[in-house]
This record gives sequence, structure tokens and C-alpha cells, in this order.
Amino acid sequence: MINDDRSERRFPYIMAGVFLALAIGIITAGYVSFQNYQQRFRKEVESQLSAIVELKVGELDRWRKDRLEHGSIISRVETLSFLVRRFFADVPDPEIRRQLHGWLVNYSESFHYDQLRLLDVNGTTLMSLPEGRPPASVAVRKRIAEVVKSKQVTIVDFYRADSDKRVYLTMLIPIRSNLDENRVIGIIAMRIDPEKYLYPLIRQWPTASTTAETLLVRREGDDVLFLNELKYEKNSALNLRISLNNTTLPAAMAALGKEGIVEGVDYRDEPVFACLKTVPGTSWHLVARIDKAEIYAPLKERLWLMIAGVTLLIILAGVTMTLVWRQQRLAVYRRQAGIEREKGRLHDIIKRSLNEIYLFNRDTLQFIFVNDGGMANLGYSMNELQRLTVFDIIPEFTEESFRTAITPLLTGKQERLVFETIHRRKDGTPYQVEVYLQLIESGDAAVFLAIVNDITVRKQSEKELHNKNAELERFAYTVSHDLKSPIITIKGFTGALEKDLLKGNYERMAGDLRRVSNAADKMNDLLRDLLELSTIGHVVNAPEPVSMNILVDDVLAQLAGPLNNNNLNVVVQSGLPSVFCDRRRMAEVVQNLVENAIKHTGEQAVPQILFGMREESGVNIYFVQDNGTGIDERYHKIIFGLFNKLDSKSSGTGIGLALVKRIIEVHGGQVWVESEGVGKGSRFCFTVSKM
Amino acid sequence: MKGEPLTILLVEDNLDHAELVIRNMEDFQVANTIIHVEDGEAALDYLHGRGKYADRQQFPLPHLMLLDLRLPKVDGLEVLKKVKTDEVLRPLPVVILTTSEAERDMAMAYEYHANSYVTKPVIFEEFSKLLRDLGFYWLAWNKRPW
Repeated sequence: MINDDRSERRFPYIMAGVFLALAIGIITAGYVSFQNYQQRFRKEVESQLSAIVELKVGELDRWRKDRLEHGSIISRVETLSFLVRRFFADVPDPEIRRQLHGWLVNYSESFHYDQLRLLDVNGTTLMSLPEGRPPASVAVRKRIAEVVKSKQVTIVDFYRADSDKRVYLTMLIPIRSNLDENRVIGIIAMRIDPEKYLYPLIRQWPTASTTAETLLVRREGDDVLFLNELKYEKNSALNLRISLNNTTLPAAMAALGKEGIVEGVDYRDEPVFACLKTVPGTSWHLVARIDKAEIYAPLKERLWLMIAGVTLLIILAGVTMTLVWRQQRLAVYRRQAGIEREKGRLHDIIKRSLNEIYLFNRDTLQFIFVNDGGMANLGYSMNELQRLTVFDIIPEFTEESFRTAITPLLTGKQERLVFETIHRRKDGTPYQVEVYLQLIESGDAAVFLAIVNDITVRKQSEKELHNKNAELERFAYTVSHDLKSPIITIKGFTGALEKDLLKGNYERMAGDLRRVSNAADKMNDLLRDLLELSTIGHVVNAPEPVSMNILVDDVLAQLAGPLNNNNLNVVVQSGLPSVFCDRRRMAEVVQNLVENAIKHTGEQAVPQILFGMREESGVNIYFVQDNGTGIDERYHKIIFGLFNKLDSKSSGTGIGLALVKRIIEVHGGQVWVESEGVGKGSRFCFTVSKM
Repeated sequence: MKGEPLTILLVEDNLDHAELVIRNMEDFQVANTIIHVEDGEAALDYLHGRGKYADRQQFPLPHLMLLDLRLPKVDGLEVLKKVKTDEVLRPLPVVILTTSEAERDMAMAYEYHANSYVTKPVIFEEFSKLLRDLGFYWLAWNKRPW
């Protein structure tokens, strides 16, 4: 019970703990899963960027190498070298010019160069294709000397043309004299329009993306210079330059030679992911960048989904927990309600028990609770009892003796005391009780519980049973004694007869034979009377109203013989009231009493018997009165005992009066004798309860 | 056997039994006189020399009392108790001679200091032998108190 309570009280905390753990678990799982996803996603984006950059750098490199290769081939064409030498000869030769022009046209058409020029070592345009072009741009001419000196094919990086201000590249091919390998005699400049191939190559993005962009930059002093047109900024090619101090700018990082994946803020102040790579053999750096926003868009979506999922799961867990908790609370409430109901019912049952139930304090011995049975029998109210202690109602005990008596319970030596004592009611009357006393420790309280039975009726029954047993014992004893006596007589005198016969002592034999015969008769009488006695209480005829006068007259008629023999005068009081009784048994009573009177007439000259009735405090007392021998007061009780005779010589078995007593008792009445002493006659009285 | 007369007091309400006892006692000539009374009251009167038994010459103190238990008026046990609490009568050998084989009777008799307790045998020969032995033992072998 106690443990249950504790666990019930702890339950909400356990639930909250479980919920918290669950929530943390869900959030952690969500977070880890999201992190994983984010990393995977980022890796994917990064590898995508890297791939694009690798591809483009590769293409740019290839393109450049192709150009240089082409330039190199051209620079080694001897015919061209010859023609150029001849062209530069002092004397112009139209044929040479024509042939040279033909070569240039050929190149221009084959390789889609935007513009071809033939420059002398000073940078002066000697021939151009298309013809009549203005002088080469300064950016180109500046490089002439370098090319002349190095004799290497050189590409002039992105520059703005002086004439149309557009962006071009120009490949400068040194032409050596066919006579002297080491002398550059002229330069063929092949202009490349980046819009034709380079810019589209750079601009092109292989996947669907709204913000992704590739840029080509180069370092110029402390700045980074953007070489192509930007997606979000017009006219940026070769115009937009940003300081290298701008360290978060991916382009600046690239310009500083950094390679690989970087995060940063681009020229639009937009956070971006970028992949950087330097194009080999050039000052170019390729930047492939994509807005973080774009990358994170699906991640964000995913994040929101995740958050929604996690939130949903947590809510679900919470709801489940709440439901479980509620269910549990409900079960607890139900159980408590059940316990309360059960308690109430138990209390009611105990209260209404007819057994007397007492609870009293272990220390003060004051009553705490007494049930209806106890209060009803004692006559005290609960309020009165609660002011009393146990020894107030058990007069056989004092406080000391009671405390001594209950010591075995207090020490735990005995679990229960069972004893009989007397309870005193409020009105002072006592009643016998049997007490079952127990010390009950419940929780931190200890009380005595006494279950008490009123054993008044039982005690009375016990007493009656005891009396009956005693009577039975007496009966068995007297029967054995009185039946054995005639046997001894018979055996004794038959033995004596034998002896007399041998001795020829014939005078005594007649007397001895009479003794034997009488003894046998006595046994017969005894058996008959015993049989009669044994039927009383078993064979009882239905009671009926019996006229006492008629009954007595009948009995007297039957006894006419003995009455006449003794000259007895019987007077019967007239107008006797009827009695509700067993007619046959009542006749036996009257007969036995009259016979008893006949036997004890004594020496009376005029023996008389009176049958009458007197009333005493509402009770009818019938009597048979004689003027015979009378009975000493000492023997008034024993004469009603079985086989008891006052005069051993008188006839009869000693059962008659016992029989009368039994019959009267069965009728709920009493029988007794009144006599003033020997020689003064006697009066046998009896009553019959009004059944 | 001294020449003095020996007296037995027989207390027996059954006249037939009394006759049997007397006849057997006479046959064996163990006593000079057997006085028979029929109830406890008469027995006590005799022992105390009251009423018609006042003459000690005619009714001397007995040398042995044979006492039945179930007696009219005063019960045998009562007589025994009275005798054994009487300073003068106490030494009188009292033999309970009864039909009763009830253990309670025997226990009570010994409780009241009966000198002996015998039950009447049903077999005649045994009855005779018992009375002869009783007579010889208590009146001949036993040292009499008076």
C-alpha cells in the first residue's frame, strides 16, 4: 500500500523524465540526421563546383594550348617567313604582298580569328585583315618588343581595343627571317574575340541553377580584375576591379592563388560557395560560385521539414505520455475510490455485526470504537464509551490486573488471548462473555481489538448439560447397582439352597425360594419402571385441555383395589380448573402420587388422602395430601432421586417419584413435598406451566 | 482367638443380602454376635449408643463394621465420614461391602479412610469365601483396637 502510494506519487516525475529523454532523443536524432544530410548535400555541391571548375579550366587550358600550338606552327612556316622578309624588303613587291595576303586570309578563314595583322618589329601595322584597320591597340603594341626579343608566341591577355573599346585577346606570332633564325622580322597578330568562344565557355553552366556563375579574374596590382561579363553587373569585363584586401571575396582569394572550395561573400555582397582554380600558364583564375541561398534553399526546406517532423514526434510523444499518465491517474483514482468504498462497506459490516467488537487504545486502554452489538448489550452510547476504559466494564479486573493479563500481547509472546469474564452493563447487570483479544499494529498505530461473545445462553446450556450428565451418571450408577442387587440375592440363595439341600436343612428352603422369586419380581419391576422412565421426554403426546377432576376420578377408579384394601378415604376438591397437558402423563403423575400416599399410610387408623389445588401469586399449585408417616425435612430433596427409598422395607422400586419429577419438568412445572415431620403426614405439590 | 465376645455391625438395607451375610458368618463362626441395621441413621444411632441402642451391655461397640454404600436416609459414605471423623470411633475397622463397582464410590470411600473396599461377588461360593476371609482377617489376624 505504502509502496504503491510512493510509486504513484513518483509516477508523474517518471513520465516527465521519460518524455524529456524522448524529446532530447528525437531532437538529437533530427539534428544528427540533418547534419548528415547537410554535409552530404554540401559535399555534393562542392564536388559539383569542383567538377565544373576542373572541366572549364581544362577547356581553357586546352584552348590556349591549341592557340599557342597554332601560333607556333605559323611561326615556323618558312614560306611565310620568306614572304614576310620579302615584304619588309625595301622594295615593295606586289606579288609578295599578294601572296602574303593570301596566307593571312587563309589563316583568318580557317581559324576564325577576328582580325589579323602583320606588324613590323615596331608595332606598325603593315597589313591588316580586314584591310584598312586602324593601328593596333596600345596594349598589343606594348608587347611587340617583348615578343621580338623572346621570339615566342605570346598571347596578349584580355584588353580593351583602342578603337571599338571591346575586349579582345591577341596572339602575337613572331616571324623570323628565313635567313637568320635569330632575327624576328615581323609579327603576325591574330585577334581573338572572346565572345566567340571564351566567354560562352565561361558563362556556360552545366546544371540548372539560377545563381551559379563562373568568373575569370586576374590579379592586377593590389586589385583583382574581372575578365568577363558578370551575370549581375553590366559592363564589368576589365572594368570591375576590387581590392585584394577584400579577403572574403572569392575572386580576391583566387587572385591570390588560392585553390579549392571556399566560402565567402561575392561582389554583390552575397554569401557564396566557390571553387577556385588557376588556369595553368596564365594569370587567370577561374572562380565558380553559387549563392549559399540557392544551396541552402532545399536544405532550409529540409530543415523545416525536419523541425516539423521533430515537433510532431515530440507532440506525439507528449500526447502519448499524457494519455498514459491520465490512464494511470484514472486507474489510481478508480482504485482509491474502490478502496474507499470497500473501507466504508467494511466499516458498516463491522459496525452492524452482532458480535461485540471493541477497539481500544494500546496505552490508555480507552475505547476508540465500539460497534452496534457492543453498545446495544452494554447500554452505553459511543460518546459515553469513548470516555471509558476497558477495565470500567470488566469488574473482574482492575487496571493493574488487566495490564498484567495483556502483557503477553504487548511483548509479542502471544498473538491472541482468549478468556472468559463478565461485562457490566450501564445499568449494572452483568453478563458472561468470551473475549478474543488481539493487538493489531497497522501502520504507526497500534490498537487492541476485542471480539466479544455474550455466552450467557451458552453458559446456561452448559450448566444444563452438566446437570443432565450428572443425572445420567447417577442413573447409570443406580441402574447398575439396583439391578445387580437382585442378582446377588438370586445367586446367593440358590447357593444357600444347594447347601441346605445337602445338609437336609429343609425348613429354610421355602423361605429361600421365596427370596429368589421376590428378587426376580423386583428385577422385573425395575425393568418395567426403567422403560417407563426412559420414554419420558421422548414419547410425548400432544398436549390438550384436561379436566383435572375427570382425570383424578379416572385414576382413583383404577386404584380402587389398593385404596379399599387400606381403608383409604380419598377426597377430591371440586371445580378444579382444566390443565393444558399430556393427558396420559398427567394421569401417571396423579397415580404415582396416590400410590405413594397409599404406601406410607403408616399406623394411621383413618388414613385419608386429599387431592386439591391452591393458588399462590397467580400460580395454580395442585397437591396430594395424606395424613400418613410424613417425611423428615432432611429427606425432602432426595426422595425425588432415582431409586431413592426412605424405607427399605416398603414396596416399590424407588422410581415412582423420580418419574413424577421428570413428567412435571417436561411440562415446565415444579414438584416438591411439604411435611411438618415424621408422623404428621405429607403434601406433594406440583405446578404445570400454562403452555 | 481370645475368649471375649466379638461383635460385627452389619449395615445393609437389602434384607436378602443381610441374610446371606449373616448366614455365612454364622457358618464360619467368626463372630459371636452380628447386629444388623438397615439404614445409615440406625447405624450411627447404634455406634453412638443413642435411642434404643443406649444399652452398651446389650449393644456393645462392634469390632468390625460391614457397611453398604447405598442406604436409605443417611448414605453409607456419610456414615463412613462420621465414623472416621469421630475421635472415639475412628479406629473401628470399616469394610465397605457394596454392590457398586463405580470407581467414584471406591475413591470416595478411601478418601474417607475406609479400611477396606470389597464388592459383593455374584458367585455364591466366592461370596461365602469372601465373608469367611473378611471375618478371619479382621477379627482373628488383625490386631483389634479394642
